[in-house]
Amino acid sequence: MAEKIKLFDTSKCTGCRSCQLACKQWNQLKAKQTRHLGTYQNPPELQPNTYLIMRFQEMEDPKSGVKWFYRHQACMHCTDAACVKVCPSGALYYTDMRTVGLNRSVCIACKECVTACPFDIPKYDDETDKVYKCDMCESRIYNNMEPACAKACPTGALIWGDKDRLISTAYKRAKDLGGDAKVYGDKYVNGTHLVYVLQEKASVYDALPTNPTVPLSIVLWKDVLKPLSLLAAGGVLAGSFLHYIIHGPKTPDENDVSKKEGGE
Amino acid sequence: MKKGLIQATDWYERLVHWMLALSCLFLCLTGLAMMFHSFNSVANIMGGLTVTKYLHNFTGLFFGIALLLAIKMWWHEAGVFSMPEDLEWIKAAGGYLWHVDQVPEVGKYNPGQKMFFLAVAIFGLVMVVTGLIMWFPLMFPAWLVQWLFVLHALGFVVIFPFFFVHLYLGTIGSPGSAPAMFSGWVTKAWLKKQHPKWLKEMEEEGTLIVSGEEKKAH
Amino acid sequence: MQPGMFVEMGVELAKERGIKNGEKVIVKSARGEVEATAIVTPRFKPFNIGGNIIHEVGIPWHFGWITQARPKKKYSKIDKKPEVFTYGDAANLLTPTIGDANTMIPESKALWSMW
Repeated sequence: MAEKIKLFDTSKCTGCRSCQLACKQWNQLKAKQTRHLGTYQNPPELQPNTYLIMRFQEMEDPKSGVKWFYRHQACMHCTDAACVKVCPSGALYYTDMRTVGLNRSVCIACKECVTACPFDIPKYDDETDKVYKCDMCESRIYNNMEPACAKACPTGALIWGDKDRLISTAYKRAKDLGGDAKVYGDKYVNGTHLVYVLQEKASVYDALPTNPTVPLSIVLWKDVLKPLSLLAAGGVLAGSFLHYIIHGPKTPDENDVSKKEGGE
Repeated sequence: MKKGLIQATDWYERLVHWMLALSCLFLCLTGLAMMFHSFNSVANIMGGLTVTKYLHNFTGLFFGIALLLAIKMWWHEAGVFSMPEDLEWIKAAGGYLWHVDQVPEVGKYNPGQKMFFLAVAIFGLVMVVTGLIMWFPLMFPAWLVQWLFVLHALGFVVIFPFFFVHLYLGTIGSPGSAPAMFSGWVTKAWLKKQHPKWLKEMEEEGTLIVSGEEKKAH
Repeated sequence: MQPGMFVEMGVELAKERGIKNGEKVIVKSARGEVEATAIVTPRFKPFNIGGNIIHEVGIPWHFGWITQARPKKKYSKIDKKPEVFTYGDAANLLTPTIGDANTMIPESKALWSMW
């Protein structure tokens, strides 16, 4: 299957939030009461019942005037996903299309994924005792349809298509935009499946990590300590067995006169 | 009971030991079931992985209590090294690995046991604290909880080898030892071989309790 | 998508009136007043018209109070009960109740307020 990505071009986005609405409608997610906080961004952060939000950010620059940034925030579907790495039950998994799926029936709500994600995406719900996140409309993409959000986007800011073709489109667009415009996502965590064309440096956007990686602690834990623990456990079992058959047990009535060999 | 057996442990020591040992074993098993995808099926015996998680967490609390009792009870005997005899014993590996003419006389706990006690005391506490925080990770900053995962795994890597060696030497590796933790009574010959200094201390202080003979005040 | 009634205003006006972003404010006209949450934004700039500084504020026309669940209202099986309640004053409280004779389209969408 050809690898596909979802490309979000901030320069074409009007902040209409059709994507946010389509996601809610397709996944039949309930609404939750919120409070007006003085911004169009609602709900203020991702929630267990909101897999995608549009983030609104204003900036005034004496040179370039007022800027209003819109960012489509949802699961980045990393190729090297920290969440898949830590999940003890295998509820989080890589699909054939290399997106990150979530099988909630297997989720044990340990919340390790919530802690590990460098983009802070998965959200835990107290009432259902499960974790929630965007699954790139798995049921749609496996039936040759684009994700609901991409279908709803009226300006074509959000498009779903072949990875190689869209990445080159993205680079071309960034070049045309000029200035600080760059492509974000293809170089981190071995490539994300939600790729941005940003108009400004990544550091300008709020809640967007400038250099996301699978955390070092997670790598140490899963790639070093986990195999080491098996080695230690197996080693000590084997060592004890060898000690018993080679050196023999220490009995109280024998005197240590017989020749003994070393073991362990 | 055979006459002439000596009491090595009282009921409280045995109770705390088994509270600790059984909860530790259960924690290792449930922990491994969650740690390795290939062991996930072990959780089915306990009713599924979610149930395993709760069993692990609550047993951890029980282990924490048992650990505190154990540390309180044993730290001044098993947590303190007396030099230079203990270092000599360590250098000779207690006579367990290669032939040693004269192993330094050992008191109630040999340095190997002391090292085991320290490992469990320190890393056991680490496991309980990291485990508690991992139970409620959303109340703490993500970067901190991430490093606690590492510590929790490290604790297992340290504790399990000690645990298993202790299990081996307490059973087939050193015949005569197991009754100390089951019935509490051991043979004088075993005590003389394993903990000669302790035997001497008890005889001198008059705290030696021998089955079939007059009970001495203690 | 918006949890309640809001009013957008420029940074200069907010500073003048001591209004912070997210604070509840009251917008008054000669005919009525509405309560709204302030959105303080650099996107609104004051006008200088014939030497006078005129500030512009923006409010949406939406809300009203019909969606708020009345506590004693009994919902029957076929009633669609709202999941959440977005409510707030309707902007019509500020405008004159004068409309076109045939269509009732309000006379004025923009109004002058000294408040």
